[in-house]
Parts: sequence; C-alpha cells; structure tokens
Amino acid sequence: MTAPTSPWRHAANGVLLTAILAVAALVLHTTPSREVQQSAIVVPGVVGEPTSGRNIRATVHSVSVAESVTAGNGWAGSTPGVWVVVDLTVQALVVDEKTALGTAVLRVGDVSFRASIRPQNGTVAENRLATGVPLSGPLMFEVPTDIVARTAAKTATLEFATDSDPRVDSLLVVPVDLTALVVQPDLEVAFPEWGAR
Amino acid sequence: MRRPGWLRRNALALVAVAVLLPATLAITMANQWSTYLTGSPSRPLDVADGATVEYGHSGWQVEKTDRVSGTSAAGQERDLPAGTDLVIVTVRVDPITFLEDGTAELCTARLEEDGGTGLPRSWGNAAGSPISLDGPGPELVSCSSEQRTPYTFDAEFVVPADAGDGATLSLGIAVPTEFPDYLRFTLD
Repeated sequence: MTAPTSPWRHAANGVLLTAILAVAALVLHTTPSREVQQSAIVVPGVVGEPTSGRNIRATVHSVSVAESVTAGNGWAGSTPGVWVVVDLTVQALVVDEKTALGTAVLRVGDVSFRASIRPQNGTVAENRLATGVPLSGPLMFEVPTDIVARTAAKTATLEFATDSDPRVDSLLVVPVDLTALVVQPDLEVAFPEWGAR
Repeated sequence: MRRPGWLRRNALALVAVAVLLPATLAITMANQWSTYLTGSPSRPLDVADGATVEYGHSGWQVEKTDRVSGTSAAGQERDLPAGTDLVIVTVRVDPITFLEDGTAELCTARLEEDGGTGLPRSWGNAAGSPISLDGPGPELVSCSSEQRTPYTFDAEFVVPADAGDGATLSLGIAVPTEFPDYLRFTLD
C-alpha cells in the first residue's frame, strides 16, 4: 500500500499547472501573426541619401509633380490626373540573378500606386538590376489630381524592393512631402542610364 | 519502501521526448534544405589554376582571363557604363560524351567575388545581362549544344571597377545534370 499524497504536493502540482497555463497563454498571445512573421524588413531612408537593403541600394535624388511628362524615349504621357516623377538610382548589391526593381510604389495614406510601365524603356520600373552597377532614371506614378493635396500626402512614402512581393526581404521606404511640391505643366526626363553618375 | 519519484518513473519517456523532438525538427529542416540545395549549383568543386577537370559530359579548362577598363579605348568601343570593367574569361570545353539526343550539354557561367571586406557578390554572363554592349563581341559566349569537338567560348561579365579589389574572383561553371556540384575556377 502506498503512502497518501501530502496536501502540499497537491498544492505544488496546482501551482505548477497554473504556471504552465500562464506561460502557454503568454506564448499564445505574444507570438507574432503569420503576417508579421512574413512582413517585409523596412529600411527607412531619406531623399538624397543612398539607402541599402539585403540586395538593393537606391537613392531618390528628387521628386516632382507634373501635369504631363515626356520620357527620354520620346513617350509623352497624358493623364486626367498628374504625374509624380521620381529621379532614382538603383542597383543590386550581391547578386543579379532574377533581380529586378519589382516593387516601386508610392503610398499616400492607405492608397498605393505602382510606378507606371506605360513609358516602357523610358522608366526604370521593373527593370532588371546589375550587381554593383547603378541604373539611373525616372519613375512615373500616375495619380489623381487631388491626391497630392491631401493631408496624407505630407507623409507619403516611396517604397522599393527587388521583388513584386517584398515579404521577408528588405523594403526601402523613403518619405516625401508631396504637398510641398509645385505642380509643373510639363516635365522632360532623361532616358535611363547605366553606370556611375 | 519509498515509491520512486515522478521524474525517475518517467525517465525513459522524458529522454525519448528530449531526443526525438529535436531529431524530428532537424530531419524536417534538413530535408527541406537538401531539396533546395540540390536544385541549384550550391556545392563548389575548386579547380587548380590551369588544370583541366572532367565534369558532366565534358572536360573543362580556363585558358585565360582578360580585363577591359571602361575608360580604355576597347572599353569605350564596347560602350561599357561609367565606372565598370569587362571581365572576359576564355573557357576550353572538350565534349567527351553526349546527351541522349546527340547534342552536347549546355552550361551556365557566373563570376563570383569572395574574400573581400563586403558580402560575396556574383554576376551573370553579359550575354544575358540587362546592360547591352556594343562593338564586336566574341563568337561564342557560352556552351554550345552543336559542338562535338573541343572548342572555346568567352564568358563576359560587366562588373564595377572595384570588383576583385582585395578579394578573389572565380568563375563558376554549372550544368544542370550535376547539381548541386559546380566547378569553381579561381581567376588570376
């Protein structure tokens, strides 16, 4: 016959069980969601300075707003809205295989705009990148006229990554104040060019 | 007689959990990594300078390496971007056996930089690069499925002028049937 279990042993088991449940609840409620686990790794930048991620380095030289834009390949863009034109230099840092400027997004509040590919080779949007060799040229974002005057346009951001799906990789985020820019009637931009400026 | 404690009574099960749980995780992860690594050229076979080595269906040798500065006359003739050089590696291929359809195997050539202060970098063949070059290029820029006798090709790479500074440049040659192995020739 075994000796009866002491009341202290029962109490200790109860405390241990409660502690295990508390730890389990803590782990359950603090574990990052799948969305957070797979989210992009944001690298903040500023206009005029190079910003580097895992396999991308980009410099936003200037941002302009224009009613119409003429690209270096002769393409002339008309729009019922306006063009936000970004002068960008971008390069891959470690590998060029399957590497392109897949993400080039202008975000104003909760609205985002992808860089237009209408100018075809007149823009660096979706262009393949080379390791250590900079590519300089324009990005054109076609946006509604009222977007650039919204309050959220003061804290708009430009986002760049090497894939159209930047999850679990670097996402360069450069803030721009669109409300501070004067809307120009027409803007001519240079053809994209490889090499150091 | 005093009854053994809970830990002692469950020792075997606890040891089994302590061993099997990490082993299961390790095997699962190793399996996924193995699948990933065997699908790409990830295991280099280093080749001594000037040596000929058999790999896949052919013998391989790096005959010579040239470097053309973007500021030189030859570099300007090829319209190299500012701040870049052109690295040209001449590779000799000696087809030994052929594929079932009678053709020679194709290959991929990449230039790798390692051992410097920064992260390892690599470049794809200029023939498939977004940077287009002008002027007379080489006749063959990669392996040919048509060649049945020994031949050479010139793999060209557009690299920044600082590529190789304080680091080692090597040429990687890969054929899909030999993955994950690939040849790595250290360049002069």
